[in-house]
Amino acid sequence: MSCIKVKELHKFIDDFHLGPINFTVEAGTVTAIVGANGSGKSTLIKTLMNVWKRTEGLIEFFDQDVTRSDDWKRNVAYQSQKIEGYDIYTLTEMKSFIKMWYPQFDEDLFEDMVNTFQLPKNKPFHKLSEGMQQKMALSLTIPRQTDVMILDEPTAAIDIPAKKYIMDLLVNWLDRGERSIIFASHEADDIKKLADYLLIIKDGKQIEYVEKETLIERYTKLILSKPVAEKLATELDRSHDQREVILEAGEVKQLHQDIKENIISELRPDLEELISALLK
Amino acid sequence: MKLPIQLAKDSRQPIYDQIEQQLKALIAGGHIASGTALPSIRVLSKDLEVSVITTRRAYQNLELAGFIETIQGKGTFVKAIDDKTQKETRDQAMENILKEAIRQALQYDSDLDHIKTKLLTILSELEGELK
Repeated sequence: MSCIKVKELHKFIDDFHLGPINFTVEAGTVTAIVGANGSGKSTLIKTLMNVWKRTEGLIEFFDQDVTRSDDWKRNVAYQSQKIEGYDIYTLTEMKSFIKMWYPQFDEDLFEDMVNTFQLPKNKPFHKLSEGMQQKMALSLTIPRQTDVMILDEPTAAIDIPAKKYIMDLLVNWLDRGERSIIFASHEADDIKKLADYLLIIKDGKQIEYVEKETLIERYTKLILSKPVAEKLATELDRSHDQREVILEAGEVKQLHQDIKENIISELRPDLEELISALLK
Repeated sequence: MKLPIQLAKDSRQPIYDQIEQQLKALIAGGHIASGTALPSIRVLSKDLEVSVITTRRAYQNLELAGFIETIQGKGTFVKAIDDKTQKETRDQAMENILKEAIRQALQYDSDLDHIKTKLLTILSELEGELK
């Protein structure tokens, strides 16, 4: 069962063009949106949430077109990168607003998060540090008990111990049903531990929507005793004086004997190096 | 519980298969008793840094092979396996380890006879130690 469907999506803002974007999120899976700064991650998230109107294409949550009505929003918890509208309000005030929209709001989880993060309940949002603001936003987002969460760089400003706590919370949250997350992140650790699928975008264009191990197993990294001069047919990247080459796994058997004899070892590339190579 | 599974970086063996074989070996070796609750697919995926698609595939294969069972709403548990399966799985696990070691040794020395001699020397040394 799919919970989010995106088809031939385009968004034009000034001279930036996002698209075409095509993907379907299966219920119970986590998708990480990966891309360099300015590649269109936040634009995509805002367009998905219908905060910014799409220019062309289709976006459906639970088989409902996002532009038709706002019903689907009650089952989607969204946290934007820049948190807007919270400024003068305290945690207690924000919670009572949010509870009107999400009556199933999990008070116990909220209290647990507030205690762990040691959040002040009666201090206005704008008086908190960036990290505390992000912790406050998460404490108001995760307990909404929706089937889908959409998070734009949710842990960028957060300290290491809190990151671990949040990771465990999200894993727990996912385990409580066929729940899904779409998140944009630059944190390699979050992507490795949480993501099932990667949506890789570069300059507004989607270059991959792929399951993590499918991507990793597509490539292999050769460590060579001598540099190879020529570029190999399916080569993705090379480093260390041309002695480390990432190429498609299928090409290794067809390599020239000279190169084959120079292979010291053949490794599975790391997700981080693959992403960097794909974004070059 | 956190499963002691380690994914090899230098192996061509698919990741789901590595998870499957190592779990089989842990069960057949008696390291995880029957009835033990295994981590959920999501938790194991986080621990091993793989997708739920990969973990689910390993769990499904293990379930088909009779090593584990999933009880709706309760979780996944290790099943009791018969002596024959236990013996075969241990044999297979041992064979895999030896094959991998020999494959790695071949990267340093392509002379099979030399490796064979070395293997026998190591075995007789170990025999002395273990007696």
